[in-house]
Amino acid sequence: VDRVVRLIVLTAAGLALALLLLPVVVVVPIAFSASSTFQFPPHHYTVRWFVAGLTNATFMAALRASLVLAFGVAICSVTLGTAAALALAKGTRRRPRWLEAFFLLPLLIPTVVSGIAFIQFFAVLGLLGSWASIFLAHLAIAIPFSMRVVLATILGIGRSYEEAASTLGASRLWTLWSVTLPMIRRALVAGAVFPFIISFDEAVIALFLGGARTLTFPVRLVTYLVDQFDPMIAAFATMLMVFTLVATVVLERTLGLERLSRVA
Amino acid sequence: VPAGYLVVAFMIPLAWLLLVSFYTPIPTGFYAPAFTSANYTRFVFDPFYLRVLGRTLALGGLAAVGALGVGYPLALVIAFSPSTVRAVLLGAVLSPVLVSIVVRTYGWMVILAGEGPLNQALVGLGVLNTPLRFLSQPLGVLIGLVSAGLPYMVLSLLGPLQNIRTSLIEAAHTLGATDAQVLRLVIVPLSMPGVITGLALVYVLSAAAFVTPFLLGGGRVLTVPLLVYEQGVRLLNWPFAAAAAFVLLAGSIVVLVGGTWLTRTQAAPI
Repeated sequence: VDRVVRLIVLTAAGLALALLLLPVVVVVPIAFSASSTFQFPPHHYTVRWFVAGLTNATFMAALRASLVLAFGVAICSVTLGTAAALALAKGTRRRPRWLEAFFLLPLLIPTVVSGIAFIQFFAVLGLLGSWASIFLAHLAIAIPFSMRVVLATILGIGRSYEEAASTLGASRLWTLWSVTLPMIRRALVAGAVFPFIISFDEAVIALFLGGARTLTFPVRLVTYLVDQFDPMIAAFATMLMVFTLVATVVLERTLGLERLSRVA
Repeated sequence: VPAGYLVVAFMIPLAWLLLVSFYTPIPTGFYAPAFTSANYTRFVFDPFYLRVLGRTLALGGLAAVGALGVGYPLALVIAFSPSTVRAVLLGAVLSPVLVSIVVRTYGWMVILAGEGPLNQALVGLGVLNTPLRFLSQPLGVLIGLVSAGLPYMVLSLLGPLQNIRTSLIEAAHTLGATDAQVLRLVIVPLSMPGVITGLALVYVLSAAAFVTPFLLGGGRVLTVPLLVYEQGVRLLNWPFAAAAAFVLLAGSIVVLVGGTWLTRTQAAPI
């Protein structure tokens, strides 16, 4: 009986691994496949899908726009998120925990729900279909991530260093600049990389808010895939995965994989 | 200031949405500020929308159960492996989360295509005579949802599983329990909080998923998130879209709060 149980457990675990990894792994050979149907494994290899992708004007314009957008969101999110984390860390006694819970709200609300809410809000402001609306919406969902990363680090350090600095006569601003910020700089990097990935990956809210002229890269991918799916998308997917890999290595170096899994 | 930004940029839109969900839709443009509950009654009583709601709940429930079915064995293997194996497997569980959901869904479109690798393999092995249709079918959507939900399921299960003291398992073995008995009488009861958290999490993520049913459903598998998109973005019936969004949100909150409450009451005595 025990052998049967073990066999079932191992088989199911293998199936789970297949479900996790297959969709990620399959796109790489397809991207290099010479035929436009999905032969697997491909008979001949080519880089023409990469060339087709990189010379596609609409995709490249969307990619540039997404990179600028994600960069802006990252900078603003880490700034505001750090401010929020500093405020929350100071007021642990006076400010109740609900404020911290309040900052978690955007993480729990489905993106379709916030998407439809943002549409009607920005329509009233007359911003519908603009880059500004996508930027502001992405910022709202990204700030909580920055705040969590930074807050965890601040609480881990404790307040004794700041207290020592002020005892020695440093002003609050100088303490922040010369003591606190240098100590949390790893968290600041992570607190900027997270919002970058969130904004760069986010397809739903950007699809809801975007007009014909404000397509982000993931939205362009999704709308293209509705009609057709040729290996050019696999080439883009492969490039995105290499990019994600680099970003992950950066995060891993600064934060460690274990803490990454706790925040995500 | 950041709290202020979130109030402005998040709370006001949501409150506005709640208000609009009670407004009267007018065909020519958006809505009239006359209060009605017709949007909600239409959603809950119209058989077509009721089927959409039922399909969403069923897909979410099946995805949660499916993710538990294969995720629990994987979590078991990870929790009771030597640390090097554990690190590799944990990386395999975490890395898909870091790959865009659009990319992963595209991967499934390739795998599940009519002449894709899965059908080739199934026909080649003689399991099937003719290729099976996965795309534009609930089955394809379900596979995508299980795959997307698995990392969250495994992470939810790992916490409680890794907290089980090996001495308890050794004690059970010493007292003559078989592996199956240890699993059923010791490990599973102690990991119940993780099971409940994982089910609630995967259910909520699946019921609210957009990209997966949008692409794998091929326009044939309508769920509540897709309905919100169609009504809100395509047909510009904002009050109805708002009502559908709030039904979805209310369902998610009930399941998450219920799950949290269950894990509290189920808290293991050891």
